[in-house]
Amino acid sequence: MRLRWTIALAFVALALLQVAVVVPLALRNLSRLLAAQQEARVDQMMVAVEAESQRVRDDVRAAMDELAQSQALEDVAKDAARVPPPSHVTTAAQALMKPRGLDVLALLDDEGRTLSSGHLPARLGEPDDPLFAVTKVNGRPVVPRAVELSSAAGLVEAPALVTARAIDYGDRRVWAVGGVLLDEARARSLARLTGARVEVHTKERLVTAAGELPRAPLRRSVPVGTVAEVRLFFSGADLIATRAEVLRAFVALAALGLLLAIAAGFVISRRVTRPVEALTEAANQIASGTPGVKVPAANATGELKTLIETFNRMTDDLKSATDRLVASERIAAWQEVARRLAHEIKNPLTPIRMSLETLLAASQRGPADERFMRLFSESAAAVLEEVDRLKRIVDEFSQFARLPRPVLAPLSLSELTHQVMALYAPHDGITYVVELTEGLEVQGDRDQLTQVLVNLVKNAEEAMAPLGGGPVTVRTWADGRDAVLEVSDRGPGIPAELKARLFEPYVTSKPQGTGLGLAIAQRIAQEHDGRLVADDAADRGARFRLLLPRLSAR
Amino acid sequence: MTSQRTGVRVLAFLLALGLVAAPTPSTAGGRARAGGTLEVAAVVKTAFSDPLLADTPLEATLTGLTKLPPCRLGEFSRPGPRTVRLALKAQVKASDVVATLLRVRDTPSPYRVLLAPLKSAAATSASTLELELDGPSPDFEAVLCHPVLAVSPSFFASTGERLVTNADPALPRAWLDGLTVRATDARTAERLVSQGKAQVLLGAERGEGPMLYATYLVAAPRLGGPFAQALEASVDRPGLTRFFVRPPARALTALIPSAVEGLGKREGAWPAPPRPAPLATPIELSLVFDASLDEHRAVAERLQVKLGPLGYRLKLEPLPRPQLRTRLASGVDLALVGVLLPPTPAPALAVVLSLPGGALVRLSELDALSEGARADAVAERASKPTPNVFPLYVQGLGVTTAPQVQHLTRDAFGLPRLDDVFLAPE
Repeated sequence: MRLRWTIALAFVALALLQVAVVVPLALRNLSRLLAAQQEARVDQMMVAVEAESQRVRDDVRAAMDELAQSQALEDVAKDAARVPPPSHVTTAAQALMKPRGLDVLALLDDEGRTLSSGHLPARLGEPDDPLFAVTKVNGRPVVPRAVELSSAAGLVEAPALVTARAIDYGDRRVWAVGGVLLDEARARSLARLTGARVEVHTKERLVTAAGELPRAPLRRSVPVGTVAEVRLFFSGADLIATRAEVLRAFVALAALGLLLAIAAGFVISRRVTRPVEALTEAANQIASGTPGVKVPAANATGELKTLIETFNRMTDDLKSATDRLVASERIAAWQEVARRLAHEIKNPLTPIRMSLETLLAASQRGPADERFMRLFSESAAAVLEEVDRLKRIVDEFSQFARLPRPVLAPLSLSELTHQVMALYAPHDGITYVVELTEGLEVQGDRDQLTQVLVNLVKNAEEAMAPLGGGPVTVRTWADGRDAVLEVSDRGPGIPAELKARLFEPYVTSKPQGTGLGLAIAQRIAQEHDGRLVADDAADRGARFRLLLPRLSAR
Repeated sequence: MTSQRTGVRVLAFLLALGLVAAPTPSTAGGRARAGGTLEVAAVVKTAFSDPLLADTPLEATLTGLTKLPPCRLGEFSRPGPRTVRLALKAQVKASDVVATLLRVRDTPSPYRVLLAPLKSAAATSASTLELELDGPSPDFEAVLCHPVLAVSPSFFASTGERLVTNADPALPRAWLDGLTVRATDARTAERLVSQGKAQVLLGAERGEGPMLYATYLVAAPRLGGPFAQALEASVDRPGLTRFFVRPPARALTALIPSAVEGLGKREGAWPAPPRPAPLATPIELSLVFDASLDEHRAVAERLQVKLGPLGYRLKLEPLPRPQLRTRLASGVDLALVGVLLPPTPAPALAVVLSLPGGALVRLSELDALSEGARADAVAERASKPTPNVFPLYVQGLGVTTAPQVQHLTRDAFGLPRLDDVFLAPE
């Protein structure tokens, strides 16, 4: 992976890590904060509930105080002892109850029997022990009591807040026990006040409820003595909504931060990696043979700037050294060429000189006779042969020296091989085996690659000629990024002393060879960004491989 | 003794029939001239137009303004011992009367048993119908005076809010030109009368006349004697009637009230059994009652309070009257049922004994008895407690009138005859 991407991804990962760590922490703290606020709000509501409860008790107390002072109740007390009780006594509780906002009112005699009941008229004449017990409580407080009511489900106990007042008429005492029920109306009122769902429970059952059960409710309970419990369910919807809103904001901010991190990562990584990439590019250029490449250090700072400056100095030194080396090698090469050329030219000169000296000696011995003429012919032929040899040497040298730059074009190495090998036919014991792989597109100069193949085939033929021939095997295949052209023979193989210098000009093991064929082939391979390698075949003979970059691998 | 009772019964029955016979202008000598509109205030919560449903005295009075029972539409005769012929005088089709009788006979209600003797009914002409009985049924003509059998027309016809005197020439003309009825609550009704905005208050707390609207507690037979003992021991009928029932009312301690002819001397308090111990395992019972009757709710709650300590937990189930009757016919745990009893003993007893489960009690064996023995047998049977029908109280219809309202009579059922009223000049 490129350094730039690595740095950019590091930035993104860092941003993600930050989001992953910060958001849950922040949300947790926020939730705690919101929950605490909600608790505080509910606590305030509970204060209001307590105040409402107190208000209801005060209302009951006031209503019962007023009732105890009323003339109507005095009339009841006056006639309470009549048998049978008159209807104004038996129906008094119903008449007195509602105008005073009471839900419960029982008028009891001194023994606890019901003279009149507003909330359960059917109890007339029956004892009402739970309500009569209220008359025994000191201080006349408003107390919770379970009051019996008639309902479709039978007689049920309903929680109520009641208080008792005594009405004396002469030596007769009548008790008024009244109050309010914790019924649906009361629950609705409380639900309106608090915005909560209100449920009134006794030990056995749900008495009544008001308001919708909210989502994620916050529950509070208010015991009503031992007879009931008021449960309030406050809505946690605000909390949830706020948390959701904050979460959305966090997500948006995190996404924005992530985008910014990505952008910053790219910018910074580009800034950081640009000099490194320039260094890499320069190194590649140097590696590909372009000396003296320099990297601009204007945009770099710190260690990178030092690195670039060092690199530039190094490339300068390398270029100087390379130039010197090249100059030395060129001189050495020319010396070698001159030596070899002189050697090659000197070799034919000796037979020529000897032939001419022989002819000159023969001509000085007398007039030309038949022997002279035969000698002349032989000497002339020898001279011509050596001159031809000289000419060939000069031509090949000229060709080697003037090898043109290749004109590259896409071509199929296998197709080219096929076309060239089609021109060869077995002769003098030499046979041709061609194994080609389809495709193998390369960028090359058709003529020069043809010359390489011809040179390699010719080399193989010449290697096997002294042995009376043999198969020349030509194969092509793909080897990774390269297309391979292999020419192998069953000749004597490459002499060990020549292996290191096989592709140098004028290095040959053959008496008639100029030593330029493989040098030319090697040079053409290099001009095509390829290479020519030679080794011994697996069992016998030599094997040459031309490796060229495949088009598809570029 | 028996002959004396028989004489009283005959006298009372003739008196009732005399009340049924409509007065004519010729019998109203000395009255002021006919005319005027009578303003009536009625203490009624639910109005039923179907006579079979309108069976409280007040409801029956109101439906009776526009519908008359068969016995007031013509004259009976007996062509044979088991055949009753009714020759209609009013402009009503005999086939309509037959249809009404057959409907009452076939509809689940406490009154089906009244027509149990009816074997077949057919209109022999447009104004004559013949009723074939499966026995002598000497009370059958009297049964046909029951308001639940009423059919149109009557002395009045409805014209919007006002009832006007019907133009049916076959019926005697009412003295009034018309009347208006205003249904309201008791307090408003009393105020209307006191302010002179109404001349008659139907449903007053005081009033004379026979009390025949009896209320019973019907219990499922499976509850048996323990429940009967618990009820009798805990329910004080006079107290119940005094404190929870709208007057005029009286405790009922026999199966049929003393207002039923000839039973006055037999009615008396049943001895209260000792209070039983509460049930070891309380049982829940459903008590159905008529949702349109406030008294029934109050009584139901009283029973709830009284029976609760003895282990009977009552669930109250108020029902509209038609559903109540259907439920009663199909069987219930407990039911409060009010019925307007006929003034004749045997049919009244048959109605009462038929209340549980809708089984019709024909009392056919009484037909074979002589009149005196028959009355004795009914009185004897009516005075015996039953394990599943408990009489509670009986009510009449209280009526108060303004001074200018004259000649208010009642029929054998104790219902006021408003068609017989005339208004004295101011």
